Amino acid sequence: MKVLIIEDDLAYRKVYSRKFEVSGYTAETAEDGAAGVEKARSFQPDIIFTDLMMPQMDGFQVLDAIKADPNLKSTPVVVLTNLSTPEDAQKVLQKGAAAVLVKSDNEPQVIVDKANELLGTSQTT
Amino acid sequence: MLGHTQQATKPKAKQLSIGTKVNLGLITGLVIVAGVGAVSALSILRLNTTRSERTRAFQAELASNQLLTNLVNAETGQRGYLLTGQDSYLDPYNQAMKEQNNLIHKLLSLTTIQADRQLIQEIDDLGDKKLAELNQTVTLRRTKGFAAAQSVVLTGAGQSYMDQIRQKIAALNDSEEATITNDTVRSNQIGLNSVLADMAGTLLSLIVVVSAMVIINRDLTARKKIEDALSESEARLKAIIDSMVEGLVVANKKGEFVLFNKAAEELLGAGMMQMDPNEWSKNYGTYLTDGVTPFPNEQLPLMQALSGKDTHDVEMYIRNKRLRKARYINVSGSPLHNASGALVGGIAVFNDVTVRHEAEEKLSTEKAKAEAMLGSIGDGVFAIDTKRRIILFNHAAEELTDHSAKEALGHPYTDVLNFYNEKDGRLVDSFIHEALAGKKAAMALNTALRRLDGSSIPVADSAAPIVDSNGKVQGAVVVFRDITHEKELDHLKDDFVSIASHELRTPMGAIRAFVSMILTGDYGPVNDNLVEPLNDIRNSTLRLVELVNDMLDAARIEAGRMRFDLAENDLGDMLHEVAAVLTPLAKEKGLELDYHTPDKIAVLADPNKVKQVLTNLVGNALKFTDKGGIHIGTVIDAGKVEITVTDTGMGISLEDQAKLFNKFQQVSSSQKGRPPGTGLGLYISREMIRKMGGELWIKHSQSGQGSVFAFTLLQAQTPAAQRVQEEVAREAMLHPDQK
Repeated sequence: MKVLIIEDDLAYRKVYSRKFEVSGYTAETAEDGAAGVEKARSFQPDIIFTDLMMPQMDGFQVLDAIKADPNLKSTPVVVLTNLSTPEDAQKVLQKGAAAVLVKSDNEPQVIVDKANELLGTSQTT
Repeated sequence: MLGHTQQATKPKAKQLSIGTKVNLGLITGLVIVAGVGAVSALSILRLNTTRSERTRAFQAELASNQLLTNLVNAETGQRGYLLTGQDSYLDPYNQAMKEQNNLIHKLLSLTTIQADRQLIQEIDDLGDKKLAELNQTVTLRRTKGFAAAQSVVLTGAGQSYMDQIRQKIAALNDSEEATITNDTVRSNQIGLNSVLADMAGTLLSLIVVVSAMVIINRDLTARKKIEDALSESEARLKAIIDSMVEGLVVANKKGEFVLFNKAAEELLGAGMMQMDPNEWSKNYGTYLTDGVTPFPNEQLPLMQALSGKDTHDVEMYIRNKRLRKARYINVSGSPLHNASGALVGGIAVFNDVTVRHEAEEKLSTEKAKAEAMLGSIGDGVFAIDTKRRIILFNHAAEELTDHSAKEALGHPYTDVLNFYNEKDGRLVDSFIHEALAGKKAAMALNTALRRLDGSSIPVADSAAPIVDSNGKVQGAVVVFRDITHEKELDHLKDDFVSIASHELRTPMGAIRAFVSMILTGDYGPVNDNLVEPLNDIRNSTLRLVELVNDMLDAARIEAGRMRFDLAENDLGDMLHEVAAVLTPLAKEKGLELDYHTPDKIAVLADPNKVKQVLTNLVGNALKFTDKGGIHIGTVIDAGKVEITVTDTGMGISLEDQAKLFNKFQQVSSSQKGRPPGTGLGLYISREMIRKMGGELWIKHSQSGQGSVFAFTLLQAQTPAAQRVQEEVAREAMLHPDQK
């Protein structure tokens, strides 16, 4: 399974890619929205995790671009955030996000669990 | 003096005054005397004419007699010559010859009567003939001797001439005599007339003078009576004036003092001293109320009075060597007029106002102090009476409202300034009404003041009643201050807190993730000796995350930026969820956690917030309880649901209870081995419960005997719930950035 992590914070990129890799995923990362969308097209991941607040393109725009791309629109997108309002969560869900997760409140395992849940797989380390 | 004199003379105004009477008498006398004099003068003039007439007649008679005498003497001398032939006998003849013409001319000049002049001509002719006859005889005697001359004499011609001359002169003299007699009679008559006129005049004058004297005497008697009465009343008046507390000074129009009562002497330190009125201020030592600037002399009320002007209540300071103590006096001046309205002088009345002035000065000093204080404070302050009219308006109020105190004072405050809610525009005045009802009250949040130019500024503060010594409300004092800057600072703080929190959460989340992944072996096997420090790092990181989250919550709730999704919810569901999460933790510690709730309790609540509060309370209970258990109970009462969290823990001392709800406050007693909290949990919990219309408090706690924390929620569908929901909705509108 392939996962794309779009995240501007290096530490999170490393944490999440490591966690996914030890969990049996092939992980790729992108450090901003624009690069993320480009990588999604070339990498064709099974699931995408994206941060909300990023330079260049933010999470909302990433969501829009992916849902507008016929090759990517069925790929589940999970929005990761540190500071979100219920409106924000509502908004991303409306735009087609599969789930919203708060980074600081959740162990990295929760994120992998969410991916497994959405992909209907139960890969183990 | 004074008005009194005017009154006394007033009734006489229509009669003739004594002076007038004396003058009239004198004038009448003079007129009469002048009349008499004129009559006498006329008589004398006429008498003089008569007298010259008579003189002339006498002169004529004298001249004619001289003429006759001359002729007789000439004839006598001729006889002597004729007899002796000696020339010396011829002197009278020569004299007569010489005077003959002169005498005739004199006679002619003395009469205008034609008959008399005829007689004089005839006398002249006869005289000439007589003298010619005498000459003839003398010549004959000299040439032909005595006999020739004697013959001529004996002819008797000379004798005839002489007789005729005597006859004519007698006729002339008779005529003159007649004239004289006639004139004498006339002159006598004129003399009598004159005497009569003189007598009548004198008599008349006498009568006039006597009458005048009688009248004057009568007037003088009356005047004396009036003067007696006047002096009596004047004495009485003087006694009254002298007993006056007010100083009284009267000056005539020349500026000479005419009256100085006792009080005036005392107040001015000196009695009447005649001086140049322009020196009054200098000599009596008058100053402006500042005590140093000499009082302008021309402004003195008495000076003003003398120029016809009234002055009232002029205050001045008086200080001179004769005064024991310098003092303040209050002076009024008025001009004095006589009955006919002419200015006759001025009066000044004054009294000692030192005590009052000093009291006023003290008061004004106090007032100035109070005003300076009120003026210098930065907060707007105004006071209103019970009718809501502004009675005080300080400098800051002027600046904040754009209205001057002058414009504001006396007007209903609502005409000058309006407080209104800056979001919905509703008038905010209930705090003022409360103050007027005797209760100190704060301004509602988000109040703004509308200014004259239409702009508005956010304000805050309060109103307090003004209560008199009887406890009666006399008005209210309203304090308001511009909180624009505070609001800006608040926003800055909020922004800072949220940005800082966000920026902190990202790396903290990463640390936490790294540590937990290391611990789960994601980076390979972990040595046993590293497991404990890695767990410590993890716990510390969790505390940091919790702290940042709590700080964010506290900042949000204080700024009204915490979002509450209030709705009708079942309390049982919330209790159940919390218990489900925390029961495993209780079990870990070997504690019981049970809760009791009726089937369904509909409350007005944001379930997430209630769960947060419950988690906080139960979490604390678990933390501080080592034995026994935790019980959650519910009681419904009067539209409210009371939820209690009872533990069997260590309890909280009264001292700690008092501080427990302060920010960053934690129970101070030895907490060895217990995970420390952030010190914000209870504060945030209570603020959240309050926002939802409830209250949170320590119901009971005693050291060593456990604690009971309680909070209330409003039952749904109650009026109170309705109000809270509206309030929360309003705040949500004000803060679109609520989270």
